[in-house]
Amino acid sequence: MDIFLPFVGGLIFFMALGLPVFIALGSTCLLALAMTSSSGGLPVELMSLKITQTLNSFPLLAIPLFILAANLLNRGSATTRIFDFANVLVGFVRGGLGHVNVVASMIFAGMSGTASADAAGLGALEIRAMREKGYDLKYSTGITAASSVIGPIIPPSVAMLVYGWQADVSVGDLFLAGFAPGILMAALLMATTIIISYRIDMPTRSLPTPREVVETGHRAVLPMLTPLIIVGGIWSGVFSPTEAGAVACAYAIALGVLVYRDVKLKELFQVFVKSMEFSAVILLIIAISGFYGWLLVRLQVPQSLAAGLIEMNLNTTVLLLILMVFFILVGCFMSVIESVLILTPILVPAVAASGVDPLFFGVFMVITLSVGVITPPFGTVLYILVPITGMRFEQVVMAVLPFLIPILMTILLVLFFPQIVLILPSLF
Amino acid sequence: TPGLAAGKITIQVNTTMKPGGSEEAGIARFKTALDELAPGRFDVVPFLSGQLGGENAVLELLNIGETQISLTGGNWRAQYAPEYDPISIPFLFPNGAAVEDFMATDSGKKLQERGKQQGGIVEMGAQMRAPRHMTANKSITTPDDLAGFRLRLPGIPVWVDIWSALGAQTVVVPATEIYLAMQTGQVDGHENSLVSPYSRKLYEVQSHLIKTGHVHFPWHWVASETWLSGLSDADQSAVRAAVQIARIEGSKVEVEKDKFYLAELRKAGMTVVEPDTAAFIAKAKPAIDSAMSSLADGVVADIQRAIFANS
Amino acid sequence: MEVEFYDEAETQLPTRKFGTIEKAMVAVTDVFSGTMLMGLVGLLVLSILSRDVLQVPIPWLEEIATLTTIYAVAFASIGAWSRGAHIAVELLPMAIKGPWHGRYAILLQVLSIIFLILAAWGAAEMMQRSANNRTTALSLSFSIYYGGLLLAFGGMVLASCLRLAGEFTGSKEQEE
Ligand code: NA
Ligand code: NA
Repeated sequence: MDIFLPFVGGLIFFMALGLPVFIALGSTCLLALAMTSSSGGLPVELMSLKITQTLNSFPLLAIPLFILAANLLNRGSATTRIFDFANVLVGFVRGGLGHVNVVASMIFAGMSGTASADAAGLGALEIRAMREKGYDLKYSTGITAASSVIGPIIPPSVAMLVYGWQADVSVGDLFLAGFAPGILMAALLMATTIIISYRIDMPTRSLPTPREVVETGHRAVLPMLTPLIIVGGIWSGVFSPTEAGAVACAYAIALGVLVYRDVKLKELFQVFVKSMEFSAVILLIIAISGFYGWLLVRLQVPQSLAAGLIEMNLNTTVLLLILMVFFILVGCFMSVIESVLILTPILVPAVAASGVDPLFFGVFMVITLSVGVITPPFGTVLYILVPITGMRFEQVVMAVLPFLIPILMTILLVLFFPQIVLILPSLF
Repeated sequence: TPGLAAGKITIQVNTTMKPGGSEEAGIARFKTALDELAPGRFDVVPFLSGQLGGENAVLELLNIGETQISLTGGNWRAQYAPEYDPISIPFLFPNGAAVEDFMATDSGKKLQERGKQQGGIVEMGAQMRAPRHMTANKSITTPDDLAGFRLRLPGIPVWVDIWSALGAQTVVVPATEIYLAMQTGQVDGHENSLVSPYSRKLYEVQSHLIKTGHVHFPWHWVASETWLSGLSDADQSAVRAAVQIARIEGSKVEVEKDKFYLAELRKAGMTVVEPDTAAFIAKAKPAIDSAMSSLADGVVADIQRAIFANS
Repeated sequence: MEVEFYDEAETQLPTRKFGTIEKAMVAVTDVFSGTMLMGLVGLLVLSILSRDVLQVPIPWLEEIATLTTIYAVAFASIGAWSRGAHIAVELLPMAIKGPWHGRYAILLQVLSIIFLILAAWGAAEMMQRSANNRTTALSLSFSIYYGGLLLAFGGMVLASCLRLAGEFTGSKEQEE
């Protein structure tokens, strides 16, 4: 496996220098290419060929679209409306706003495709509200971070889109499969909140009146329809998963500009520009990861790794447990999308050969890698929460730590009871 | 690299098809044939399932000499020599033998020449694929049954034109979403070789197999010109000879597989329908003629000769 | 990162010499990238409407949509480059204090420029070599696609060079 050295070593080296991730990835590729090129030279044109071929893909368009949809919803009052409704629904339960935080994220997960969209938009609002009501900031930060992980699990999910595209698994099935584990994670986070509420003070609100439920529900009903429109539209055959991204955007624009009239046209253009900027950052990394993965495939690294895994003849459960630890480690250092891009072609043939359903594996992999958004050193949600909470980075890390327990429990439950993932897709 | 270490010449052979088909069989035969013809000289590395890229991606790789051989479909003909490509026109050639004969005519040679000039690829021979048929959820015997039928098609313009002329509504759906699209009713059916309904389990969502046999689309064994011309004459002839052995084996396996798929699809409960092909050809005639009108001089005569010799 | 960008002050572009040119360039690329993302939403909504409502599917919309995305990425990545929005692990640059902090930043810029020039060169090379390779539905030459890549990397090189030039010529422009 000495061939692997420039790939891993080079990547760590260039990233540690502080070069932008896409340049670190690209430099690693050029290094590996120079060391393995059959022609002896450095065919730089091969890099632009693979970048373009990776970007020239229809399913990939869903990424900028779902990023835009989430930003549009955050820009208008949709997020506030969801939070208010969640507050009326569960704010009176022991644990109060803690539950509200989780439920709001669960609803928001149905509209956004990434954890950072949840933390940056809804998260800021949740922490502000919890601070006003006298909640412990450490707890508020932890639950906000942990609940944002639900974002990429409940559909739509950018990571699952990328997986489906790479592994030849239907995105419709993947989206459906994500519902139950997402709800399970939310339930365990709420259970954790109840336990913590015996130790720290967590004020609750009064029992809601039916009128309040109707009023806030009425205010939130249109934004809450987004997930139904997305999944319903895909499943009824009206539009494809990629087109669903555009439908979500169109719907969010209609809500903000026409229905609620809280997004001005001038602001709207800024949202487009900023969403495209963020998408470009992600897509450029994805495109060069495409080249990185391609070089590995051409050198037959994934193929021999897969063969090695099959030869080990591991029991499926043991194999998945090993992969779970591996994914959590990888997640600490790489983004979910990057990891999915690089690992899917390596692992899916191997696990499929040992009898694991690629549909189940996709959900399992996305959930486990997603933990990385709240683990140091590179967890994006942690970095987002630093300015929002005003805490130092290491304080945020400590605040999030206890919430890894319910999240890991979710993963283990999914691992031992794959039916949690597979039951919904099998019903349709 | 595994291949370079022993001083062997590495040959990557690409196909977009998954393992288990006639393509893999052809590539495996290529490997053994080369081992017999030039023992220890070459290291053949198959890349199945489009591991190094889809059809167009691999054509570009061949062009810049970054991969060596591919079993490629019809995209190169459309890109480099549309005026010499009647093979892509549906309902034109009656069988695979006619297509093979066409490749041997002057027009077929011009097609190969264009591939070299425009795309840097050397066509070394065709490996036949089973004919493409339709699947549906109803019996379709005449073009009238196609009115308003939502047919999944690749976005090849001449295919879209001819199926639209037959009355179908064409829909572009990625291959991975075909099953879902059928299940949800986004499409009413699709067309492909029988391996598609069999391997994608489309018999779960489609009841009828309509044996239109509208396209006889071969795989072309193509090599990167930059790479091939860099080999010694002896090595080049070994590669070409191995391709001849491989493509004959691949074509033979394809016939067997096609029979197997048909039997399996029947077993899975699909009703096999023999449509009135003449009625389809008659209704598509204006669209076929219009596609033929853009072909270069002499191509039509070569088509007719190839068809006549095989009917 | 997707941090609440609206409440924060925009990252200030350097007000050194050449800063104005960079600012103008980014203002233009922003307009293009925003418009293209808008166009992408429009194209896909049109594709659904044409297929499901008008019953006239447009098979080439997909090719236009991916081409639009490549150019949108190109323009937006220039803006992101100029604003320093590309994700990086900044533990080491942050750990270096004093006068070396600035010098290290210049070193990273130079390394980035080397990479970006190689990437742009590769894109220019492919523009020529893939000129005869065409898309399926519209027969568009792949050169157009590689042009987007050349634009992206070339634009980033230009932005970096402007910044370095400003850095070395030293003199600050009058602020405001
Ligand atoms: Na989601
Ligand atoms: Na939350």
